[in-house]
Amino acid sequence: MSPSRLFPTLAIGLLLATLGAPAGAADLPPIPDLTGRALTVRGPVDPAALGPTLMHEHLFIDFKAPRSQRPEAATDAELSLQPLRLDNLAAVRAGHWCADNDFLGSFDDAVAETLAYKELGGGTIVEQSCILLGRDPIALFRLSNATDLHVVMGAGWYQKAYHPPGFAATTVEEMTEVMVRDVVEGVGGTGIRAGILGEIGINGRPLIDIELRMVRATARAARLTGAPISFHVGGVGEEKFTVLGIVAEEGVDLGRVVMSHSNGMALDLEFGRRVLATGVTIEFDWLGAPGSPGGFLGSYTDRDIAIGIAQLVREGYARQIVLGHDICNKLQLRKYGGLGYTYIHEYFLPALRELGVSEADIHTMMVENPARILAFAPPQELVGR
Amino acid sequence: MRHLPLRIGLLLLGIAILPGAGPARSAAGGERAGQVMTVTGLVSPASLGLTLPHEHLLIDSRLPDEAEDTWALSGRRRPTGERALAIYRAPLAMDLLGPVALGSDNRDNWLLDSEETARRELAEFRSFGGRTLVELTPRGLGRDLAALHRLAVATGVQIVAGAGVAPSPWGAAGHGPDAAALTRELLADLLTGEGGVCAGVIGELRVLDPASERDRRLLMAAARASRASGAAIVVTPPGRGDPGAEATAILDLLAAAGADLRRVALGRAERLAKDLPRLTALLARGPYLLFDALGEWPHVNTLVSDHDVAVALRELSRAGHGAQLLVSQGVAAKIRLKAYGGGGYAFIPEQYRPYLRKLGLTEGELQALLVTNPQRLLTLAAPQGDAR
Ligand SMILES: [Zn+2]
Repeated sequence: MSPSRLFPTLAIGLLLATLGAPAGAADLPPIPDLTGRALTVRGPVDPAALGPTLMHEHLFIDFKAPRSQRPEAATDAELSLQPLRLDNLAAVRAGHWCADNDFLGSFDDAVAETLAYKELGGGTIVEQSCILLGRDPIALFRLSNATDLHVVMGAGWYQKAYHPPGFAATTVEEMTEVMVRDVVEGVGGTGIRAGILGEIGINGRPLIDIELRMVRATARAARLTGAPISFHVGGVGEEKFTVLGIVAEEGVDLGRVVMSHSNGMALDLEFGRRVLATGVTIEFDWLGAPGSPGGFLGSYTDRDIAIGIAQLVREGYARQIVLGHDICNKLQLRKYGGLGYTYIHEYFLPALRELGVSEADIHTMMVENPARILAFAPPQELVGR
Repeated sequence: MRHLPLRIGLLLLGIAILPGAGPARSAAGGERAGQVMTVTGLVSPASLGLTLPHEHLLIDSRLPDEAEDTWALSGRRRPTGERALAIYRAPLAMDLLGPVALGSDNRDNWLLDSEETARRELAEFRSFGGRTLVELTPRGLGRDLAALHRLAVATGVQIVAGAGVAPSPWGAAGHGPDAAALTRELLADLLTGEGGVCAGVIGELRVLDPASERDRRLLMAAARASRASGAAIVVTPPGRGDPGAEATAILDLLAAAGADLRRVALGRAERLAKDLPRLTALLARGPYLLFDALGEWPHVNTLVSDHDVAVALRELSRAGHGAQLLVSQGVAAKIRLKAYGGGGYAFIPEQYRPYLRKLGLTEGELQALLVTNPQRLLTLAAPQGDAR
């Protein structure tokens, strides 16, 4: 059994132990100054070395839980327990839930799939599996060595359904300390450090108390360490401005923040412009997915997203746009009938070019923006201390 | 043990081309007009139920050879480069489904030859309430009427076969046979059949270039055969040029050859789904608009999605055109089957019907789209003497 298999249990144990102890700013470890460096699983690097970067992926993830979402109908429940195979792929693509689909655990598959990306010139993958999503620092470290791709690991907590027991009682200070330690000391005693705070699961429709605390803690951890932030959604509609208000209040430059899952902004450009006006970066992701959870049927396609991006680029927003596939399901992988980590390079970018986006703007979105965002800011004291 | 209904014999080809004489009666003596010809015989239109007007259960559209001409005629682009060639030659497996869905050619993908797979996929259609399926594989592309008969018997799905002519490079070279010979061929399929199994509709007519002599002959023959047999025509425009211009050219040729455009279903209508004024102009000439590419994986090169089609169906229905709309999946390749992760023949009843409902189509509009319109299309009209 490999160390990476033993790891998740260990990590949860450590996490709960950490949460159990009273924590304050005084307990924080000394914080290194990584200004201008990106922090990968192999250590700090010059951001100029990152190359084309996929800003939101999962190489290893296990989000089969929560059980509460298990299908009620018996034949759906039966399917949910099967391994994903060719003979049930149609049903899973069409949106029937299959637990195995929500699980990426094969090291060899991850290497093969990411090597295909590297062969097309890929340089870096930002891996946003965070606490209780199967985050696997050792596997990421090994994969980075095996492929020579840069990998940036995530930190923090995903959405409510994936919170550890008792998490609702966690204070802002406690959360801040866990994230700071992941960035400064590494995760679970491995010494492998997180280089981004994300994906922080803020659904916010409306924002709930625990989310407000998560936002504040994430902002403080970013302020203290200089790490960038990636929000999962970051609040629906107007709630986004509340979230960003808290981040700004904690003294974090909004240029350090990526709003993941912003596909809707390619369709509602008016809203997109309002969000962009705050200075954040918006991310278009979940690109190239062959159905599931919504199936093939939806009100917009990647084509519509590409058209929206092309328009925003024409308006001068290229410096605030990044891309990713958000691969988190088996069916997105080449092995399981998907397009893997190469869809953006093989299909999406050519379509953007066809829609008039220049090579320079593509370089901005794929290389310059990730390098700028992943480079750490100077560590600072918390506001008001 | 099966045995095919015996309807052969009495109608020789010679009789079949004398419009108004033989065609009105089947060999068994029953009136065809007002009925629907399935591979298991004539049935009442009321028995059709939910019907898909353009599918393929068995088809072999692999290129007959690898010559440059053959590729050019097929309208497909020859794969070049190591990876593209490797994908082209490999048997279609799970790890190729992505690139093939996004347009990489794969030879194996063009072959639907397993009767057992077809039976399972058809049973799936039946289980979601599907009742009738129109199989439009033309002669020369792997059409197998005896197999269609077996599939209908095995699944309980009624199958209407098409009388079609394979396009080049699968069919005859050059201009092909003259219009009279083509008419005889279509009428033979409709009236005599093979082994007692008759076609019930004219199609799929795959038009490559309405300006070509070849396609002019083909459309003329279809128009004549439609008049003489009462069967409707399902035609597929080239899909290369301007969709409105292509459709107009086809309707012009059919009308000039005497076809009743109300007996014509014009495929690939999805290409105009975002252009309601042009769809409306086409509808004014009388044909059905057939949206027959539903259930595909939408991606960044998808110009018109199933959602766009759904919106068009709703708007056209509300504008009073609900009686001229048809939908089908046009399955003709492995990746479209459920066995290969696709939507299968059941996509419309299983996924699209609920989606249309969600978008606000009424039960009455759905009934027209899925039942009444295909029923009217497939009901054989009274044959007419050819005045030309
Ligand atoms: Zn997310």
